[in-house]
Amino acid sequence: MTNLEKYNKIIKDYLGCSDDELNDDVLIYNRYPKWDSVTHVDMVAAIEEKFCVMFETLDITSFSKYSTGIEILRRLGVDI
Amino acid sequence: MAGREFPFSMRKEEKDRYLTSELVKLTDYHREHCPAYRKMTDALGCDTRSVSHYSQLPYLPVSLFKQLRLSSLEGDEDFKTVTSSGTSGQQRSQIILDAQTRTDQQVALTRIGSDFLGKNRLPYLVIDCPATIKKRDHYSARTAGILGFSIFGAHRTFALKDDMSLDLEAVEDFLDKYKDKKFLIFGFTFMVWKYFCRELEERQIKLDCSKAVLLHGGGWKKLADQAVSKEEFARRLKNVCGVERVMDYYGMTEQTGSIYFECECGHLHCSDYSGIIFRRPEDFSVCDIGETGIIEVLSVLPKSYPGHILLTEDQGRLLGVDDCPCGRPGPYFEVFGRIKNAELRGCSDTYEDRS
Repeated sequence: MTNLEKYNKIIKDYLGCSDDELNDDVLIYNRYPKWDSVTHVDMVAAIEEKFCVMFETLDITSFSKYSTGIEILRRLGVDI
Repeated sequence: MAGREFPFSMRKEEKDRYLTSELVKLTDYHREHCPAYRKMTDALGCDTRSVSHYSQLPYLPVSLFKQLRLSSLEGDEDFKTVTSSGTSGQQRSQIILDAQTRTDQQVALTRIGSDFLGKNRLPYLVIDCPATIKKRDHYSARTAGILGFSIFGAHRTFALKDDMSLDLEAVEDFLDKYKDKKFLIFGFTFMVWKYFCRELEERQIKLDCSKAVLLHGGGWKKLADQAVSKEEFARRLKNVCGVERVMDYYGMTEQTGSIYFECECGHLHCSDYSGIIFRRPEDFSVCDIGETGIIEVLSVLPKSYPGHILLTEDQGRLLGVDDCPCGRPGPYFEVFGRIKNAELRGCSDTYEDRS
């Protein structure tokens, strides 16, 4: 599995979304029904564990749509 | 507003100008979008055009949110309701939050909290039970607190089981892994006291939390009769778990996000997102520095409900402005707890507090 596939799998598992929904128009924090603050915290923890990284505090709030998670991972040195 | 980089940047003159302009805008906005708010502020003779300072703007008693569901949203917008952690038998506040206001609250909380706790997240021990965060569409203040502060934490561990007994195994396991570096303990004041501190005392258990920052807030609620002083609280905690840094915060469900943290000098601080006013109970005029009064809290965040200017049921006093030794500009203050019931009667409601 590529890193992007791993990332997508976590997103789909936690948000219950389909492949078609993996984009910034649909997956927006606090707007996409299942992406609330409870799921958010758990999902961040799962991403951190999978990629062995630690988000900074501000990353957690800036992770507010599908693509920002990828950007944060890249900044943390993940090849994705 | 939500885009400001530093949560503590404004000195008095700039802050007065900024808050007045933002809060006038918000007052106009809510008057336009919340008919009940318009009616109330009309009755108070509100005319924002004549306001030269934010202290002249109308305030709502915080208890009003226990009686009315006040919303400035169009009918079908997506929203969540947060309830306050009232004591049993008492009405709870209902706060209507849409996505924008929730996001603004989270950004504010992050910026303010990082200023005190650092930008790296800390291992996070929660003095509460896992069941507290299970309910999804009805958030309690405890849920909101645990989740809100989760952004500062990692490896979240709950110190209590769902029956509120101490999960000593989980706590010891957590400490084995993380006790040698800075970590965060968070809980509501009465929870930390009753289910952690007192429990450890009674069972004569000593823990090593000497590297921890213990963050607590929310006051004593139904344990008001068991309340101890700030010094006693810190001393007893230090005795059972060695914690050196006990940090209080002042905040309420009705104004989540624009929270007031206690600095290293033991003072609560207003951030750029918030203001604070102390009012004399006899005529609601503004107190001088050092004079005890009823606390009015002001926040630039509430957009989905008219909660930007609230008169609380707490009393406290302003200690100074722009000159706290910790270096943060803005007003700093202390809180003494709830006002005696009698003093608020006739203010606007007949709300009875049995705590």
